[in-house]
Amino acid sequence: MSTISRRGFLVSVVGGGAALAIVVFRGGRNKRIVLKLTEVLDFGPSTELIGRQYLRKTPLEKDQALLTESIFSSFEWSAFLETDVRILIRDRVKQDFAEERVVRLGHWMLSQTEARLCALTLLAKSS
Amino acid sequence: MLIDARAVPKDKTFEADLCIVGAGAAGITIAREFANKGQSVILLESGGFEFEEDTQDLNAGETVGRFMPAKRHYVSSVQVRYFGGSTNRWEGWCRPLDAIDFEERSWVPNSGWPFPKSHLEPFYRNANEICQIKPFDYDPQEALSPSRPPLTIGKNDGIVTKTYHLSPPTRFGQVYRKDVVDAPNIRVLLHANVVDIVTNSSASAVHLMEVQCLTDNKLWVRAKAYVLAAGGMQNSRVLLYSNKVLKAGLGNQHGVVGRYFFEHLNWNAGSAVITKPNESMDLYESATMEPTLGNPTFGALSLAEDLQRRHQLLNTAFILFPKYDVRSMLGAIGEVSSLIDRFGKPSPPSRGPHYSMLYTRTEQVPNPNSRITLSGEQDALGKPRVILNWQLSDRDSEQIRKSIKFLGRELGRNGFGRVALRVTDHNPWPVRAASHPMGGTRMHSDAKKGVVDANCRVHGIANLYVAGSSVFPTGGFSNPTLTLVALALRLASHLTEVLESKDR
Repeated sequence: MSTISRRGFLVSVVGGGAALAIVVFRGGRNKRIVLKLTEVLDFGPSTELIGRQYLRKTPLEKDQALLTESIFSSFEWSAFLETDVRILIRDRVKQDFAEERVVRLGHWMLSQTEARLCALTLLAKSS
Repeated sequence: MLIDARAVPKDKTFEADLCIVGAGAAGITIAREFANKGQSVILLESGGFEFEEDTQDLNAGETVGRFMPAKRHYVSSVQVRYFGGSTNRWEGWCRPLDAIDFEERSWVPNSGWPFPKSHLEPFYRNANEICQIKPFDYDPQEALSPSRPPLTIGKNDGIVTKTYHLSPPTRFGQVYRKDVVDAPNIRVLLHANVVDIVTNSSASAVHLMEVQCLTDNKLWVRAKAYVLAAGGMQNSRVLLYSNKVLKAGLGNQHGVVGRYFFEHLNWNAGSAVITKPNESMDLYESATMEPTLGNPTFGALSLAEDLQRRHQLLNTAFILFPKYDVRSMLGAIGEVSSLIDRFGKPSPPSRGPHYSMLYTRTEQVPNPNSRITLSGEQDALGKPRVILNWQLSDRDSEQIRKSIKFLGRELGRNGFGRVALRVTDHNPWPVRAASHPMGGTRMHSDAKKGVVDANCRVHGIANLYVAGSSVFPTGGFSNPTLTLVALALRLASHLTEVLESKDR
């Protein structure tokens, strides 16, 4: 699978909203976004454990850019710049539960966003 | 007056206005309501004042089918056969059923009581006193002191706290023995087992109770009205083996006796992390003395009634037990989720996430195939023993998982915690019975759907009534004793009217 077709496939897996995000990243803001997102959860064994479990369960998402896109795609760029990202994440996690975007990791019911954020943090810090 | 049936001359016939079979919580409660009043009462008790193995063995039976209660000797041991009945052993957990438990719910087949909870409310208040709990207040906002607030999860429209009060526990056979034995109008016959309910030729009225002792002594009781209060499973058994006139047994013209047996379903469901615990988490994890009430209280999380209606869920309690080993995923989830949930909302740094084992107690969907029948084996009195075929349905399993998922969803949605659901499709039935046998002689206005009517009178029999948890059509998640005592009070009130009208 080529990079582009694989990305296309993954975008369809994580939702159409990510397509818009790809355009944003091509604007060169990717690193800034990753930095802001991965600062949310201090890297530690807990984040690592959850992130590893998530990637084991969904190996297709073992892609830093994809994870960034999938988390970021739900935020407005201006809000992302102006608001405390931690608050955005907290509200997004709550919304995930309300709208049943839930993943099961080792029997635990977690929001898709928090699981992905752990995975992204793991990948970003280990790269 | 106290009489040992073994010492009564053979074939003596006792006469009374009311005959009560069984001196457990229901039987003693009804007898006390008649104490020192105009009507004469005979209270028959199979055992004595202490446990006797040969008497208890009269309960022995077998459990068949796929779903075995956790206790190997469930049928034999779940009911206690001596004065005071199962209150000799109960733990004292009390709370009334919820209003929704009385409703006919489209998503719970065969649900619905013939009356709403409000009808039982005054009797619940008295039952509460009988169970030695004061005052009658199960609203956690009212019942708990300000220093022990319940968790407020979101707008209290999803997950709410339900309160249990703990009875000392009241041993009815000890606490109320004197009231009954000393009453001049009550005769208590010990070691007296009903071996047949004798009716007229059309089985429309009871004429006599045939009573036998393990010593082979036999006697008879004639009364104007009879109450079968022999316990959750034995009520069905006595009706089924009283089959001299109707082969299928009394009250069983539509084959309902013994059916719709149910239990409370206890599941060791998994774990929970409460990311915003308050100062009174002990409320949820152990029965703690409530200073304003004077009796221990215990809290459980539960699904708000409106949420149950909107999402067609069963009534469920989520019971937390402290968990101290927080290695691996549990600790990780606690750390990460509490970090996220607390963003923007500082909490006292000393109060970290709270880790709990999560147990659920759920009502069982009424199931006609879950039933008590008679065995080919006989007990020492020559009466057929019980076979219990406790049946659960896929609906039960599906509903319980759905309820736990809703707990996870509501905790997450409100930034209050996370849940691990241990139950999977590969392991769908880690269920244990709570030792609360219910159903078998269920209450329903339609004789085709129930054994007793709204007054607990056996359909088609003018003067035979049933008391106890066997009449419950559904059982919510509340322990049954408080409700069965309330129903016994209600039945006593009805019987007083009936007997007074017969006297006029």
